[in-house]
Amino acid sequence: MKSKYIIIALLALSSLAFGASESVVWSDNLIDNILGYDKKGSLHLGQYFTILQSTYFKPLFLGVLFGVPAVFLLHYMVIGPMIFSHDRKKIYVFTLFHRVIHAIAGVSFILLIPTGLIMMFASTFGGGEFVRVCKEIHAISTLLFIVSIVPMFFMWLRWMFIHLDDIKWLMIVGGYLNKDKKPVPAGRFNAGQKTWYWLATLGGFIMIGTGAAMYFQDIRLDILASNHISQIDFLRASAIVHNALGLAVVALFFTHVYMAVFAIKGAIHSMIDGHKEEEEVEILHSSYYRELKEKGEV
Amino acid sequence: MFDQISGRGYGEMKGEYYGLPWPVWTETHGGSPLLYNINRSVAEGGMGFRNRFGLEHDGQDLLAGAGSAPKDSANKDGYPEITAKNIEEVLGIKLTADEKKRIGKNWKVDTSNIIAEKCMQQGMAPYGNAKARAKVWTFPDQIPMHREPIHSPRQDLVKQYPTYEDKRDHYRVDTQYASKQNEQDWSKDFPINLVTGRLVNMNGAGMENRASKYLAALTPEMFCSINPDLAGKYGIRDGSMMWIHSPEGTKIKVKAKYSFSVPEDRIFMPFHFAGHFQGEDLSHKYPKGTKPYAVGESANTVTNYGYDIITQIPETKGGLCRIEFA
Amino acid sequence: MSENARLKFYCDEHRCISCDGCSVACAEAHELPAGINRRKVITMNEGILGLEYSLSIACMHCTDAPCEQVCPTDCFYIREDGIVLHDKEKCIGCAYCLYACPFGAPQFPSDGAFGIKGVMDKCTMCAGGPEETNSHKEREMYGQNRISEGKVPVCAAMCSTKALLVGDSAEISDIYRERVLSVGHGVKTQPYGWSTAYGSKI
Repeated sequence: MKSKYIIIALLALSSLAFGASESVVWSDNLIDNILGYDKKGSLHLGQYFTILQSTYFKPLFLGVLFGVPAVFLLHYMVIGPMIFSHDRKKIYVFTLFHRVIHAIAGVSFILLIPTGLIMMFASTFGGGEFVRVCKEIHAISTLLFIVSIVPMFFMWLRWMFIHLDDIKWLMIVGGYLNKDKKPVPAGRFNAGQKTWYWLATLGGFIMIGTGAAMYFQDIRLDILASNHISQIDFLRASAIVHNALGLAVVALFFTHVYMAVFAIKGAIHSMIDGHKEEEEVEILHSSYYRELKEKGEV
Repeated sequence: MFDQISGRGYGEMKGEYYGLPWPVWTETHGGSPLLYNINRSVAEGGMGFRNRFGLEHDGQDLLAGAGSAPKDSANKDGYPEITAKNIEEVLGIKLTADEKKRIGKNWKVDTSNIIAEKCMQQGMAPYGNAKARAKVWTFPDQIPMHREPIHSPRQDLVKQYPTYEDKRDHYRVDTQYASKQNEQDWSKDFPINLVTGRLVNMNGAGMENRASKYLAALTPEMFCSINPDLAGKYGIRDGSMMWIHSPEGTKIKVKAKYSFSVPEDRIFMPFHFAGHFQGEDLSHKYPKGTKPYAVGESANTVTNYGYDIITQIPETKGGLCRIEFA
Repeated sequence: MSENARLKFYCDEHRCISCDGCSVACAEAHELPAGINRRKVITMNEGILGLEYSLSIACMHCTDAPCEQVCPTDCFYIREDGIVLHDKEKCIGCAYCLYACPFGAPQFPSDGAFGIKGVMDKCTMCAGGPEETNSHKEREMYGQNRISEGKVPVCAAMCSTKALLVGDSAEISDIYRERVLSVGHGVKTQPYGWSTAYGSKI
C-alpha cells in the first residue's frame, strides 16, 4: 500500500521535472550559476567538486573497495570467526515483516552498490551503453530502496537510540579483537548495527534526495532559492555529499556482509528464519539477553 | 572575376558589377550599385541625382549646377530627364525617321530603348541630372515638425503642438485628427503611455516568426515590459497577469515582465503574437496544421486610433492605456 | 593561424546587441532539439543606464577544461587546436561535467518519459565529434563540421556587430586590443574597403 503511494509520488515528481523544457541551470539562473563558481562570497563548490572528483573520489573508492575486504581477510585469518553452539534453544528475534523489509533492502543494496561503483569507474568499463544501463538500474533500484528503508526506519527506531552499552561496546570494538566468549555489552542491537542503521536510513534519505537531484537535474527547491543557493550549487553539493556518503555506505555494507556471513557463523540465518542461537544472543547482546531473562522469555 | 568589396568585375568581367544591380540602362551597361558618384562616367556606373521633382520650384532652378554632371558627359551641367520630345535638344543629336517612329514617350516606357542607348553614347543618365531636395513641398509639413499624438499624455503640449485637421477622403476614408485629439482629455482615464514594437531577436518580422521553433523558443510568451515602480502602484508582480485597456474600449490580458528598460510612465509590448483575443484563447481557430509554436494576445488589439497623414499607416507607438492587475 | 594556435571564443560586451542571432543560427545549423541551446545570450543589469551589457555564452573551450578532468567515462578530448570535444557514445549523462563547468554549458536533452536525461550535448565550435569527419553519423550526433571545411563557426560568422569573435586566441586579443585603443577617437584607418568600393581603384 505504502509503496504504491511512494511510486505515485515519485512519478509525480518526475513529471514535474519533465515539464521544464530547458535546464534550470542554463535558463534564467544562468548568471547566478556562472557567478556561483568563483565570485567572492560564493560557495566555490565548483572548484571543490572539480578537485574532489578529479583527484580524490576514485582513489578513495578504490581504497574502500579493496581496503575494507583486505582488513576483514586479515581478521578472518588471524582471529577467525565466532562460532556459537547450535545445540541450545533458538530465540525468535525478527518477525516476518522485519525479514521481508530487510530482504528488499538487501536486494536494493546488491543492485545499487555495484551499479554505483560502475558509474564511478565508468572509464574502466568503457562508458557507453553498459554504464548507461547501470545508471538506469541504479535509479530504478532506488525505488526498492525507498520501499524498504522507510518502514525499516520506523520498525527498528525504538531500539536504535544511543545507550551506555554502546560506548562500552565501542571501547572493546564489539569484542571482535579476540576469541574470548565474554558477554559483550549490547541491547537488541549493538553499536555497530546502530551505526549501520542510522547511515542506511538517515544517510539513505540523503542519498535518495541527492541522487534524485542529480538524476532529474531540474528539481527546483524554493527553500534553496530563498537562501540564495543556485541550482548548480545545489547539484554540486548533491554530488559531493552523494559520493562522500557513498564511501561510508560501501564500507559499512561490506562490514555488514562480513559480519553476517563470515565473522559470526550462522548469523545470516536470523534474517532468513528469524531465529538466533541462544548463546549468540547471550554473548553478543548480553543486555538484551538479561532483559529477556527477566521477562522469563528464555 | 569580381572585387569582393566593390563588386566590380575585372578580367573577363570587366565593365560588369556583381549581381547586375539596378539601374542597368542597356544590354551592355554593367548596372550600378552607386547612389551618387560623378567621378565615374554613367557607362561605368557613375550617377547624378534623378530629375524627380520638376524643373523649377518657387523660382529655384532644380537642375544640377554647372559642371556637376558625371564624368565624360556630353552635357557638363544639369539636364532634365530625357523624353522623346526633348531628346534631340538635350543630347544635341538628330534622330533618324525610323528612330523617331520607334521611340517611346519617355525613358520609363521606351520599349525600343532608343533613349537609353543614345544617352549612353553621350555619357548622360536618361533620368536627368538634377538637385536633391530637403524640403518636401507636397507634404503637410514641408520640413518635419513635432506634433503631439492624438492620444497624448501631455495636454499642455497638445495645445502647443496640435495634430493636423481632420482629413476627408484620405485614401477613401474620412480620417480623424484634431477632432479625435480634442474629443476629451484622454490622459485622465488612460494615464500610461503605450508603446509597441518589435524585439531585436525577432529580426524585424512580425507574427510570421512564431512559426519558427527556434525563434519561438526565445520568446515563447506574450509579455508586457513594465517598470517595477509603476507595477508596484497597481499591485502587479513580476510574472503575474495584467489587463491593458485602450481608449478604443478594447483590452488584452498579458504577462507582466519587470524591466528597467521602460521608464515609470510607459509600458512596452512586442507585436509578435496573435491567437488570443481580449483574454480568450482563439488559437483553436487556426486552420489545421497552421497554429504557430507560440500564441498570445496581439498588441495591436489595444493600439490607439490614429493614422499617418501621408500614407495612412496606423499609429502603433504613440498611444495611451490603463492597466490593472488581473 | 600559427602552429600552436588555440581556438577561442570571445564576446565583446560593448558590441553585443542581444539579437540572439548566434543562438538561433547555431540551433538552425545543427538542427538542435527543442530545449537545447548550445549558445545563449544573457543581458546583465537590464535597463540600468551605463551598466547594461549583453554577452553570448557557450562552451568556452577552456585550456584546462574542468569537464574533462571530472568525467568518469573520460569521454572528453581536447584537440590540438584547443577545441574541447566529447564522445557521445561513451557519455552516460551523469552531468558531472555540468557541475564542474563554470559556464553551465553542458546540456542534457530530455530523453523519453519521466524527464530522464540523455547524453550530454554542448557547443563543438562547429568541429563535429570523434566520428568520421563530415559523415552522416557525425552530422546527426554532433551537427555540422564547419571547421573541417575551413569555415568559421556559424555563430561568429553571422554576428552582425562582430561582437562574437572566434579564432586563434593571440589574434583575437590583438583585435580586441585595437578596438580598446581606438575607443574615443575613432579608428585611424577608413572603414574597411571604403576606398576600394567608392574610390577609383580597380
